[in-house]
Amino acid sequence: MTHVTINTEIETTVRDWAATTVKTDIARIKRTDILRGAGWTSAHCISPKSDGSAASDESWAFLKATINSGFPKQAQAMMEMSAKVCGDKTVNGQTRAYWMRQANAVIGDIKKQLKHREDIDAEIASGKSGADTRTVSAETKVRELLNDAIKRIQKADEFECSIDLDDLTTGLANLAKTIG
Amino acid sequence: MTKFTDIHAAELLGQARNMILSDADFDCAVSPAILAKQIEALIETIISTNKEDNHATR
Repeated sequence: MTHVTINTEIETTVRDWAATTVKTDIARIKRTDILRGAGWTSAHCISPKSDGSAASDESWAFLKATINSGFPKQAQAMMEMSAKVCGDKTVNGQTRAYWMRQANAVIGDIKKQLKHREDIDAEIASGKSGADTRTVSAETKVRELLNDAIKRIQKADEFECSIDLDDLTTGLANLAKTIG
Repeated sequence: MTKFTDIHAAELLGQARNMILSDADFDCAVSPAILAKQIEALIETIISTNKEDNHATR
């Protein structure tokens, strides 16, 4: 066992962490409700150029521009520049790549929250879960993990595996089909 | 560049395996134990293959 410091600063840090986590979670639930109420689905968080998207050019541009507007002005300006023009400039100590990643992370988070609710709705509609269900079933979670692995393997630039990647992803897809 | 390695894949599949085994009522066409074993076999294939590759290139 190693020694750790227990003092007021650590107490405040952990308490603030807990408070922020709960506050963020509750805010996320409310925001998801608002988006769903306005007809937004997880498919609206996929680029209109990609398969499975329900976004129009207009809704996609709105989403991206609105997310960017939540960042500091200098970061927004930086994101407008090309990587070459921006060079190694930073805003709040963070590079252009960081701000670009944050923008994508926000879209990803919104999509994840909407998809989570859609999965719950689907389980309630199919009778698999009760009307007051707030979490998805283990079956849905496992299916999502397998599908996530498939997508990420397919998108990865340097995924190394001795068996053919198509065989691997097909095998995973077949396993996912046996669930639920 | 999308950096997704054998380790990342093994982690995701490991989570799936653990979730199957921790749910007594897990619903699937084969038995949950068999499904977990099949996932485990894929994890082993991914990880052990790359270990062999790494050794071979050293």
